[in-house]
Amino acid sequence: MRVEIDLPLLLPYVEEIRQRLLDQAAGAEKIIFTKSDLDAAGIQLIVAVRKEFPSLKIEIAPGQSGKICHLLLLKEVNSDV
Amino acid sequence: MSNLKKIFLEEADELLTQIEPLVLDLEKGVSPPLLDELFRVVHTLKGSAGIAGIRGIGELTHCLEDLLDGLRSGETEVRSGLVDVLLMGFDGVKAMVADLAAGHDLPPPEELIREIAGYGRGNSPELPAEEKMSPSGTGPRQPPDAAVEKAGDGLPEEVRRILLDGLHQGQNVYHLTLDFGRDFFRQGHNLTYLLEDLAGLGTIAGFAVDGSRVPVLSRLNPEDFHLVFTLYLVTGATREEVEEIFVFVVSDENRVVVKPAGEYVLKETTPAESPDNAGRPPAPGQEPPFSCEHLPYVVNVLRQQEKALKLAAGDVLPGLLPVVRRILERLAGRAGLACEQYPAADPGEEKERLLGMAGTILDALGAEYGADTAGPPSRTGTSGLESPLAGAAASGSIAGVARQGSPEGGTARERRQSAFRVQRETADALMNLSGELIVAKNSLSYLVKKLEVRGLDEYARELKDRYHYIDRISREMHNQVMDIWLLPVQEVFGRFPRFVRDQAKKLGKRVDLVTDGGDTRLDRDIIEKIYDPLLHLVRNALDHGLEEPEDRIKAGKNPTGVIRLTAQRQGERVVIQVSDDGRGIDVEALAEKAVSCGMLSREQVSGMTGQEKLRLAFLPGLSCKDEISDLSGRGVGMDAVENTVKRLGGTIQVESSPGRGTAFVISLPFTMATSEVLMVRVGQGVYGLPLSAVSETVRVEEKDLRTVRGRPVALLRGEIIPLLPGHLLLEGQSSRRGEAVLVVLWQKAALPVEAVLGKEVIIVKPLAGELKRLSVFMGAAVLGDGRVLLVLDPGELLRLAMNGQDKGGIRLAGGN
Repeated sequence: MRVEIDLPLLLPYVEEIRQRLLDQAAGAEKIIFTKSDLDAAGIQLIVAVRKEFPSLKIEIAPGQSGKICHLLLLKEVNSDV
Repeated sequence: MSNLKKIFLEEADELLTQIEPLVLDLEKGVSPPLLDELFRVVHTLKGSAGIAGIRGIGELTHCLEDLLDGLRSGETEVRSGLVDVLLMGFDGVKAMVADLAAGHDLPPPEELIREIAGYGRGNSPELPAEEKMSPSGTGPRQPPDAAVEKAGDGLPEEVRRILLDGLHQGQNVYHLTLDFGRDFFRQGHNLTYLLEDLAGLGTIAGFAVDGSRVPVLSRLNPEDFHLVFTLYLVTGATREEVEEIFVFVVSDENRVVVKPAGEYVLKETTPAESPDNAGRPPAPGQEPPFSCEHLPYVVNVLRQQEKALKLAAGDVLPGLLPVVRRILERLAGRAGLACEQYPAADPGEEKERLLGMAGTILDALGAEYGADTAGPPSRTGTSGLESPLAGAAASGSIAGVARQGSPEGGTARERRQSAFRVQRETADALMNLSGELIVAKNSLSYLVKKLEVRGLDEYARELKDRYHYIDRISREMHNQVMDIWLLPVQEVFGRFPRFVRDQAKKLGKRVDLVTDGGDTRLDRDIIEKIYDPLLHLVRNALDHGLEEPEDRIKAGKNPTGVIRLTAQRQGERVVIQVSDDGRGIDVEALAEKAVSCGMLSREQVSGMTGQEKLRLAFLPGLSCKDEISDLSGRGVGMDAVENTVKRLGGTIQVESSPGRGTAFVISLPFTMATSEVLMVRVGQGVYGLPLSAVSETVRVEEKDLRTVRGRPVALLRGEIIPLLPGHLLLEGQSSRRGEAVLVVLWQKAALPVEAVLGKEVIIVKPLAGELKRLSVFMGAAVLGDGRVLLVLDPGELLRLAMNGQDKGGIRLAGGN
């Protein structure tokens, strides 16, 4: 099962994303974030997801907004997901 | 004042005592181990201030820590005046600690902060090349690219190449740590903008994030900030320009550290520090593991956290628990311990969890150091920490260190278990109770005598047996309590290096202070009171004793003079010596001065031996020095020194040799808490004489009691011994019926007594009120049978007798 989240990984949306994930992520194999926006709050969310659901695969749409954060996440978080 | 602040005051005092000698050692040579040690102590001080919520001291120590960190990393040049700046800074801390003790947590003086922060950036001359410190501790500082090349072993190849290329192109390479507080988002900051601004200055490389503080999703508060970022920046910009990007962000909570990269990388990844980890950078999101040098500091920090939590019973300070958790999580991460637990909602429960975490980390550290490896399983259970230390995950961390056989490591846990702090009041109470027990025990021997008098021999024998048993226990207990009560003389000696340094500088003299026997233990009351006399003697040695460097050279001496402070236990006494290798005391000049001041007649002086003239130095108001300086020369001091030493039950002797120096030898009882006295009967009164002052007791025939020049003397083994007029000073008449019993004192004088009644261990209490005027008594004690015993001051007895005075004691009080 895969879960798609269509909200940007930005601070104002993180709480809503968190609630959705807590409702839907249990039992899912993969989460896809379809919006490419990403900031530090988004990185925190990804790290928290990994800690709560270690076997879950995470995919984030590539994008230019928050490129540095993307690079960081790509290298430091996605690498071993 | 809160418990945390009280504890901080104690710790600050202790840490500042450690800091000063370390700073002074920097004058002998700046070395990385010394800077590291100093940094650690200052960091501990800062941490303690932070935990206790003392902002002012925290700010100043933070500033000093930055300076030391800059020196360690090589970012700040070692220049002349370093020791002065540091001493000034720590003097500032001391003053703020004193303010805090008085209830004021004041901000540090701005000019002091400016002075410390400005060190290394001003125009003060650099030290000669050979005195500069290299990052590795040997040879001159390496050029930055050399440092990076060496550090490159621990960096990914592509990052290393970017850094080296940048350096070779003449660019700067900085390592940045962005460690923001939990409220970073709420304060309206946006990390993305900051990073983009940073990228605008050059190339970002080796970007990494530490997510270890981020909780699991179910516990995540999106508005809390938990990340720590590290990165390298290759740029043409200066450090100030880089720092300017964060100018609106940086605060106590939001820390941004910008450091030249080569040095920083070296520190964290050199193979020498983590041999098992060579060639491998720390895993993403992880801090580097502990190295051997970190461990004492880590243990110290953990103990502070434990202590802070234990003290926070009931009223947990707002914000304390998250701070402690943060520190423990970081330590756990660096110790290779998996931390899977998250804050409990209930403060009490959270406190217990954190205590468990601290205990587990300490246990793990202890285990790795070869101490007790079996930590209590329940502890691990409550803390929620899993220790992979024995596994591969710990390679290169403390497990690796343990294999290297660290000399310090084995004692970390032992120290924690074998030492703890005792409040002064508790030590006082223990000492008093131990003394009372001795008095109470003494009363049993009186009961034995009473029973014997009444013919109840069987009961007397039984009680005597019990008495011996209690006597043994109470003596053993007293010895143990004495161990708490005695302090090393170093407590006093340690105060002199700074004083000697400062005063020698002021006087333009070159002086080495040598101390020896600092571990000799002495009664803490004496320790507290002996400082001033020693200070007088050291001052005199500096000002009067040691010559100017040019005069010393002319005299064929080393231009650097030596002052020695030594201590040695000799039986029941401790001998402290203050000596110098200076010009010595000119006894003729001293005698001449005594005559010109009208203190002595020329005839009196002419009949004196050299040693007697030397003793004139103790005359009140007499000084050989014509000029009065800040230090000495007012003629005030030596008599005060002698009086204080006497009050402490000691004696002082002086020896001097022209051109070779002077030595003052102070002999003190090692404790004042209990005294052994010889009980004597004079007339109808019973008095005590300190046993330490008694040379012997003898019986002499009446024919050997004579009068010489109007003064009573005794002829003892062909020697004339002056007799103290005890019958005048004390109650009753001396009975001379055919023979007399004499108590011969160390000072070669004898006190005629009716009878010697035996020895007794007593606690001497000073006389109070009007009785204080009776200087012939040093105090009084309660005997086992409830009677009060007046204890004679042999020195005063002698002085009064020699001066023909009879106002120091005499019949006003009498014996019991």
